[in-house]
Amino acid sequence: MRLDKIEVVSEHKHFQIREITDSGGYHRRVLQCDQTLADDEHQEIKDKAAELWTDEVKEAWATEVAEHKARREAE
Amino acid sequence: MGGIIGGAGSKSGVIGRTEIEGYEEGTWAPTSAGFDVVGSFTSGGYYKKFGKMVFVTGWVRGSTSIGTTGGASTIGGALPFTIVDGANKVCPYIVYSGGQSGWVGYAWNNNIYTIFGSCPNMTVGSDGIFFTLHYAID
Repeated sequence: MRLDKIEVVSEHKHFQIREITDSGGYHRRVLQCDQTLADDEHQEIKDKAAELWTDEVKEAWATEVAEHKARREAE
Repeated sequence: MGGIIGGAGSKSGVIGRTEIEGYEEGTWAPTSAGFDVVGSFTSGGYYKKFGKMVFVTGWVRGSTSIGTTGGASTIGGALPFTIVDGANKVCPYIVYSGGQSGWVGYAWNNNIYTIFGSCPNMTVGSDGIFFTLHYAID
């Protein structure tokens, strides 16, 4: 698939990715900063992750996830 | 506007075809995270976006079986768009194939979760699990 667009969404720097399939249609996915990128990931995505997914961003996201998990378990 | 729909002078040439700002459609693929997969994992799904509203369908399969753990599972990560305000809960409707009852979970950020407590552990055969949800985006 060919990379078409990377949108950086929210303060947690989620990558909203649009790719174009071999048949010409769109394929979408979202990557979060706590995910490990695949070896065969698009280089542009790897570069953007290296630039934007700083330790500060990762820590803020980890805190958000932990708080969400705590709320979930409390309900 | 003209008096004949679709004729010369009418505002819209074809009934049902209206320009929608921000329309997009395509595919996405849930990840295996949170599923108990036996055998090889496959998944797929479709989305349609109308402005800032997204409608999503998806399915996941294990070649032998696939299941979730009630109250604990995170399923179907990698939604095609991040949900607006990650703290909001958006209710997907999840259907297990093979005639098992449907139930709801909730979505947060770009993951779908089983609903706590009230959802039992479920495992189904190779027919898989199907779900649908709609949500707003930024």
